[in-house]
Amino acid sequence: MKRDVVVMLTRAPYGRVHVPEGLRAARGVAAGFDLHDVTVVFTQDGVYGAREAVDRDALNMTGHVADLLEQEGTMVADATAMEARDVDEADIADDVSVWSGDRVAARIRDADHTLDF
Amino acid sequence: MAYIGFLLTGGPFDSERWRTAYELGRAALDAGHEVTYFHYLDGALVPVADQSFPDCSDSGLYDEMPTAKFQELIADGAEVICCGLCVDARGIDADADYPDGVDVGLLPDLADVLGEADRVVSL
Repeated sequence: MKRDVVVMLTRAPYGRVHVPEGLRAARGVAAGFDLHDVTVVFTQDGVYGAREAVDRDALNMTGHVADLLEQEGTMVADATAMEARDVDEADIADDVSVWSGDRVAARIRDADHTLDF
Repeated sequence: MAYIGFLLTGGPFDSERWRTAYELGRAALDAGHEVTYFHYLDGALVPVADQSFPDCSDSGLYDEMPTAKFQELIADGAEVICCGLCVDARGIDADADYPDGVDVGLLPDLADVLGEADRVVSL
């Protein structure tokens, strides 16, 4: 059965593997038999991983992001988490949309499943 | 009967996420529900056989080994799948290091759990 799945990236991109490994899981479930609708949410310290300045190649993010987008997955950054960390919208990569905290919360509420990384 | 899926990324002897996953799965099985675990990242280390914690295994945090608790779940009907990439990355020899009943799969298996489960708990 096709599901709406939210993958939450909550940890900073450097020092832990959870941002790239969460992206690996996201593109993996987006490409499965059911072709789930997957939204990756960069939130909490994970918003640092949504910045344009992040070295995606060094973090093994590039291929996972390409596969996710090919499967029509989406990536969003939580504006509330950005504001708390003084991350400006101009700092966010072009392939990541910035959503308000309320919109992120609604997306999580409406999802069939959420996966935390 | 409901179908409960678990995504377990936490390893043993680090956090107690495995224990929380165990207790929730235990309760679900006892209530007659179907349970599948997908072990990802260091979660792949949780079912590795022959765990022991010398000098600390008589009480407290280490009185029960994670692998033993998951073997109990398997015996009671839980399905346990470990991510093959995570298994290889950690040098686990699945045939030798996992007890009977622990399967090795890939992310499409997680996708299947997401597609079929009534609830998925991420720990």
